[in-house]
Amino acid sequence: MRAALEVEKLSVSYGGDPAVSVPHLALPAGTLAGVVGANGAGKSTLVNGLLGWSRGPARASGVVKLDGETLNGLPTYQRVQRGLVLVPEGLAVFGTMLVEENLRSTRPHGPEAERRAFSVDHVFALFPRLAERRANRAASLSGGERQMLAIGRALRLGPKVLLLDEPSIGLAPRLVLTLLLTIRKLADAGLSVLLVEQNVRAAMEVVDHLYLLERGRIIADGPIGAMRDDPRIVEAYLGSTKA
Amino acid sequence: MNVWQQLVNGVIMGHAYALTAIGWTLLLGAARLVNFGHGQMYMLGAFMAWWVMHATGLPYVAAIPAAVLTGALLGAVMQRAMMRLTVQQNLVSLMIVTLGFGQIVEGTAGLAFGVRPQMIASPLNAWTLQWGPVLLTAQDIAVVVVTIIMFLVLRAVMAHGLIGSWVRMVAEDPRLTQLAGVNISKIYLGIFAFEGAAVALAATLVAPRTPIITSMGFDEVIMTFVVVVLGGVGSVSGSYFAGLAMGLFSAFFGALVGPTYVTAAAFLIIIPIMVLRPGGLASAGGLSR
Repeated sequence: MRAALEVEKLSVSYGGDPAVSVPHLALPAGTLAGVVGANGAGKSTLVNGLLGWSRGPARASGVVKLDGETLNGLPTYQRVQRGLVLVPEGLAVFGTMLVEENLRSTRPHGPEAERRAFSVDHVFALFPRLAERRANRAASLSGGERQMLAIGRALRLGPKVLLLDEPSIGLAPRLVLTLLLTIRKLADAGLSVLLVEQNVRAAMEVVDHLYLLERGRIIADGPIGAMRDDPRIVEAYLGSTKA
Repeated sequence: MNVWQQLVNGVIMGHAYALTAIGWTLLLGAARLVNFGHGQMYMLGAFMAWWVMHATGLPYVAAIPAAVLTGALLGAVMQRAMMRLTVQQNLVSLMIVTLGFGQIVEGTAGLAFGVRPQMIASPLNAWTLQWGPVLLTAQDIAVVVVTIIMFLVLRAVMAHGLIGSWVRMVAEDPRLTQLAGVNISKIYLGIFAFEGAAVALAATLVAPRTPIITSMGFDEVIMTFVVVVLGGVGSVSGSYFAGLAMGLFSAFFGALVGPTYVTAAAFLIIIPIMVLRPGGLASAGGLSR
């Protein structure tokens, strides 16, 4: 099967040595893959680098292919228009705008993206809580509601591949699972998702495939069934309550 | 003192201030950017209108679009040159670059148009209206009407239009706006073209009321800056009312004390306001208001 997202020799640096270096990564279509690793392992740098995007001065090089189409060399906004969509860590909504405005002003670019894109009502059906808060400023939302809105905004763009950077950060445990199950539902409906998570245990409940990142390099990866028993995962992230 | 006449003068002057400031309001609100070349762009708009009429013999109404187009073009060129600094939000460099740009425009205009005062011969100046003790011209009325239209349109576009919402997104978080698939360079370019066009339009309407001279830019930039900041950074309605307030203040202070001291007196009032309400009078505002 052709990979939805294929990466060759990706290297991202902040001036000096590469902070992330990935020789090869292929995400099959319709797969939900997790990227886990310690703080500072380069998880965010990796997903940001796929878009050539950064809040800082990062530079990315290497080949990024979306559905066979080469994206490297294109500016960030054109990669988004082609269907590689990122929900960045943290501030991913426009706080001064209303919830509904956030969704309406983020819209698909071009007819092809439009076919994949969620309508505003569709987003509200996926996250009923957002429908209740549609007339509130996004800045007044709770952490969980903001994540829902951020994901809703991304779905409005009609992604082929969705990159999610730590959507569960700062959420109550009960909300984490609800959110991850919603993401699972999106993948089951055909969306390819790369999910960066610091909550490894929760991520392992929903993903098909797992990448373990350490110091900017993928040190282990495989289907979730095999990775569950990988000693590096068990030791570092699952601890004594070995499943 | 003819109170009614001063009141009318103040309202007209206030609308002139507001119209001159409208481009900068959007610029500061969206690009988080000051343009200290704004006054010279005003001057250039006025002189373009004068030159078109003087050199080609075209009527005043044809000189207006010519000046507005020149303004938009100049704004776009300026933005192209500064794009990298804008995206990096390098404010200190931008202040110096815009200040320098203004000086270059002023010098070039001096060479091209001469340093003598000129008069834009608007036919609207000749139509006068006498209403009790109050005298005003069709030019004055045009300033007020066009200002109100421009503010209503800008407000509507910012609050309801897709382009307006993209401008607000850029204002809040340009990096996040890129992730919505929006080409922020284009948005910045549009904002600057609007700034250039709007200040040129203001010049073609306001400048025929008094003689124009190529060194007049600096006074314009000071008053505009005051109006924008007093109105609350980036607040559309705030700028309108701040302009109106400044106009009324200038008219009455000018009549009671003397026009020479208006700017100094304005700052005597503005500095305490800035200290007590750093966001301006319309603080906690947003671009759509």
